[in-house]
Amino acid sequence: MENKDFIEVSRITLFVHHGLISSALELLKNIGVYNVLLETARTARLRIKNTLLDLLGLSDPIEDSLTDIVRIIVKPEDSEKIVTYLIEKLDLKTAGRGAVYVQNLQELSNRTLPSINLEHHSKVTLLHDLTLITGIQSISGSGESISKVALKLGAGVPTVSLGKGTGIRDRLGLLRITISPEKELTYLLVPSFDANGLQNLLIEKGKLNRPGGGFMYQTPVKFGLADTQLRIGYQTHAASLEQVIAAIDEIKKDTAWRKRIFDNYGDGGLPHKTNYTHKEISFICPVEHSDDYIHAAMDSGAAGATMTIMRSLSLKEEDSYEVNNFENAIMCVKKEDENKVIEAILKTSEEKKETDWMIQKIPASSIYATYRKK
Amino acid sequence: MATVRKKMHFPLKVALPMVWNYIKSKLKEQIKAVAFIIIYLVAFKLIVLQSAPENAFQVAFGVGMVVLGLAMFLEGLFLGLMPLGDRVGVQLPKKTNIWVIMFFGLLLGFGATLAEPSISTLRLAGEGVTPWATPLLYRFLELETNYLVWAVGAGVGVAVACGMARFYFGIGLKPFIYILVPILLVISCYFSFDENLKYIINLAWDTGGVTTGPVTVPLVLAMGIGISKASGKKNSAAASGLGVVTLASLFPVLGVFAVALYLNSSTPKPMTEIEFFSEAYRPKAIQMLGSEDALRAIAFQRGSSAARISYYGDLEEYKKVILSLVDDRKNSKKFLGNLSLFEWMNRKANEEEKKIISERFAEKLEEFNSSSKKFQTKDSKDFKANQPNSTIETSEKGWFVIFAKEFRAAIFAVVPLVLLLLVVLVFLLKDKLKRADESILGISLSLIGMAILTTGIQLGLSSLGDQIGRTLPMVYKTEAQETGRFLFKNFNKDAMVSAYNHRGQLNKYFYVVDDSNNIKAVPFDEKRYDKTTGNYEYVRTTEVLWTAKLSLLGIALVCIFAFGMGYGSTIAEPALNALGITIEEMTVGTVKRSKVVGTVSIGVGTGLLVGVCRLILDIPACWLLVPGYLALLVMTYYSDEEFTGLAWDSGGVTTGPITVPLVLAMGLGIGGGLNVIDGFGIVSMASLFPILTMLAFGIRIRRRQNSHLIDTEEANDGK
Repeated sequence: MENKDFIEVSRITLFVHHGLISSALELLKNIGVYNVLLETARTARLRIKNTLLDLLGLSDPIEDSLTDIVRIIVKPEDSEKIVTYLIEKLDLKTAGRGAVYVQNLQELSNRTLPSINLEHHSKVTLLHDLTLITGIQSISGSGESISKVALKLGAGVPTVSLGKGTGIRDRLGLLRITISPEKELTYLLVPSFDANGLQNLLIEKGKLNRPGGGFMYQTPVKFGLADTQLRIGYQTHAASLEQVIAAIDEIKKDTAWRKRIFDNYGDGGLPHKTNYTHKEISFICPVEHSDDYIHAAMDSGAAGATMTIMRSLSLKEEDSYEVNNFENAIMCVKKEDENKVIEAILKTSEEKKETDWMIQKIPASSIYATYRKK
Repeated sequence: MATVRKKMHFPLKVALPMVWNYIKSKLKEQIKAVAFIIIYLVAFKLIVLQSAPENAFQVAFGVGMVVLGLAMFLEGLFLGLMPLGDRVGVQLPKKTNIWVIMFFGLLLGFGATLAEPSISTLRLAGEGVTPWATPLLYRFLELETNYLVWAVGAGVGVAVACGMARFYFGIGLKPFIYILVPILLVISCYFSFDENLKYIINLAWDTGGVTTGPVTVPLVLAMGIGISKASGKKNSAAASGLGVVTLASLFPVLGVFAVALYLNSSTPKPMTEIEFFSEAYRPKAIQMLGSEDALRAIAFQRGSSAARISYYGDLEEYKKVILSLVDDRKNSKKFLGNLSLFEWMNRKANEEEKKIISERFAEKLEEFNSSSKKFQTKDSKDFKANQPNSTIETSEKGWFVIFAKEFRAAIFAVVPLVLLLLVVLVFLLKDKLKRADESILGISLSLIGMAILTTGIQLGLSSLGDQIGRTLPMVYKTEAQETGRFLFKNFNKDAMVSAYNHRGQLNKYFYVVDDSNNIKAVPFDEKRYDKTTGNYEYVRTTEVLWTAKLSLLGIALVCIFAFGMGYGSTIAEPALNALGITIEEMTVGTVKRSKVVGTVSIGVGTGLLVGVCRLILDIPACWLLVPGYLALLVMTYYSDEEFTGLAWDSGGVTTGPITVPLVLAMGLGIGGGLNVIDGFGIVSMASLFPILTMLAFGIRIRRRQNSHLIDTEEANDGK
């Protein structure tokens, strides 16, 4: 293990409507991707209705649908053809079916990267100027959920998964039960130009700036395709505004044309400012195994971690998949602490003699955390 | 190993508000949950029955305890019991094999049935079951109760074992439903043709509903989730952790059916009570009931006067026995069991017997207070003891005595199961609790919470429900209910007054003063006046609420009441809330807890409504069970695997510590008013309908979520 180093890989993340998951897995199996990490999430959209209840403001305008988050790790050179293949086969261009994006990151694991058996040339246009905003928020918090705010701001279609937070909570003794560990992780794929402005707006409107409000940061996206179906239901035009935007995106091949003006919030029309002061470290291991690793990481500088449950599928068999439950511990650490944290994790794994895990790291910028600002 | 983490210390000034906010939020949640049923019951009492709740202080105190108990119990589940179950579930498949898991499941299921004494509540519903009209049912409920416990326990054990195996191998729930339900339906139909077995059908389906209690459900649920988390080979959606509760409601039915078949061959056929108590049948009857004393007690407690006359054979001797009941109060326990003489007189005695007793009472009263010619209860302690004052009885018992009793019951329900899990975790799996302090706190919270909850229910909710349940038949009975009988010696006719009614008829009335010194004019009934002795027998009755013939409205009112009771009490049910929260987590919030609880509650309400209508209209059980479950099978076919487990499970969790006493009070009230044999069948309806509403809800959700997906797919096909 010591001899092994981090290697450059591409992580393809596919948000796909729950009704399409089996065909998505089938497609991956066909091209030779056998190891898949699967997470259950929900996608929130605004439902536009035209009933009396809506006029009175009584009905809930947010409609959730089950979404699966599929994550695969491939060689960087393979990523584009896989993504375009998935977009075509799953018809992701049609709004409401899903989104996909690629992030380049460094990985350390015992798994071998799949050799892709695919010749695919496609004219699908991918957007190269996207950024992923990740928001982590207490469910019982007082503010409005990030996903709702994002929808109301037209920022994009949020995908939400559930996790459990550890951090100061673990140091409180029994008093910890008064703080709920349940967290909502919101993923939002936005144009890079708008990223900072939108993030500031989200923090302000979602009241993340209150104590215990939450945590938000950006990670770079190589390229991808966002789901544009913000609204469903009653429609008064032949094409929805979202469809029009998607069409123009495709013609222009970027999102720069729809740069927004944020009075005091954004970069003032300047190119996307990033300050990669942090690293997002994901530590993925079998379920119920992460505790010691997280504690080790926290002792060497990580402020806290958010854990989500994932299923690791191996797709080799015919009808049934072998399923193993994994935990994904997401930590944002300062760049200077990065090596210390990773060393601590590696040391723990040696002590525990465990090898079935992965560490992925990617630069993170524009970290916003309430408990840091005093 | 990880280093011991430094604990942060908070000053009391910071810690106290944190704790306070936490407690406040938990209590608020439960106040919301309980609010509906309380407001509903009080409103019903005030508006429909037109009387204020009795013992308001005690009821309010009890309701407060319910809120506190619910909050503590639920929090205890999430802190202690469920993580414990989850931990065991995760470790089991890793460190043992499937046979150990199944054996453990069997043990757990069986132990849970013994620990949660929900079967005893069924016996309450069967209070009116008699050994002559329904001998098999009587054997089940009164004589060989162990058979019932064993049948149900074995059923639940097999169910948990099967459930665990399901998660291990990743088998869906649907095949189990497709096989088990038709078998049960066919047996039910077969049973309905046998004069003895047909009375078992309702009991059997009811046991399915009551077996899974508030401790078992969350524990088994968490364990199932744990096992399916710890993997194996799976067909993705099949193993979500749900479905054990479903099996635990179906297998016990099968168990009871099997035992019923076995016992039926050695059970006499139903007969009339005169036959049963006749001299000729005496040896067999004694053999069945065990002793002469038991037989005599049955004649008094469950039979009519015909049974008693048949038992004594001689009318004179029987009269002497009745008189001895009045004279020798202590001895009367042997005859009347837990019934007081007044209750017995009111429920079981006929005109003749009532007359004998009230005459004797009057004689005793005269001895006691010869100077008073007019009847006055206040002077006579002796008489007061015979007033129907069950509510006073409970308050006299004191809430602390009840609490101590409930605390023992809570220990019995929680501790053995927890110990079993702990022993398995520590000795078999060689593991320890992840957060021991949290678990210990959680387990203690659930223990104390459960005791407080059940005490609160007894003091508050069920006393309130009882007040309504007892008087409920008033709303659909057009004639007044009798509440007492008094003999006025040497009735002075001069005390009567005459009054005209609106049709111009002249009627005679006289005045009576009641306990609280209210004067009331009562019509004089010529038939009750004995000219030779000058005695007048006064029959005290309830007020007639709806003077016109409104029995249809009455039935409608009962139905509304049943629906509201079911809906309101289910909303507050802790096991359902635990399930709701688990489901919300599992579906990442796409199925909201409030929606689950609401949908199930509507189902339970509808089920109670149907069950009560069944009682009133006397519809055979099969007529509802068979079409109902067939509809479920069809809907199950159309819903996806994930929602199937969810919907069927919610049917099983509905009957818990809040619903059962309230529903029972109502069932008994209505059943008592109708003189039906047993109040069974209501619970089974209350478990059938929530499945129905949940399946419908699931199909609707899925359709809605897939709506835009289907649209685009169709658009593609058109290209």
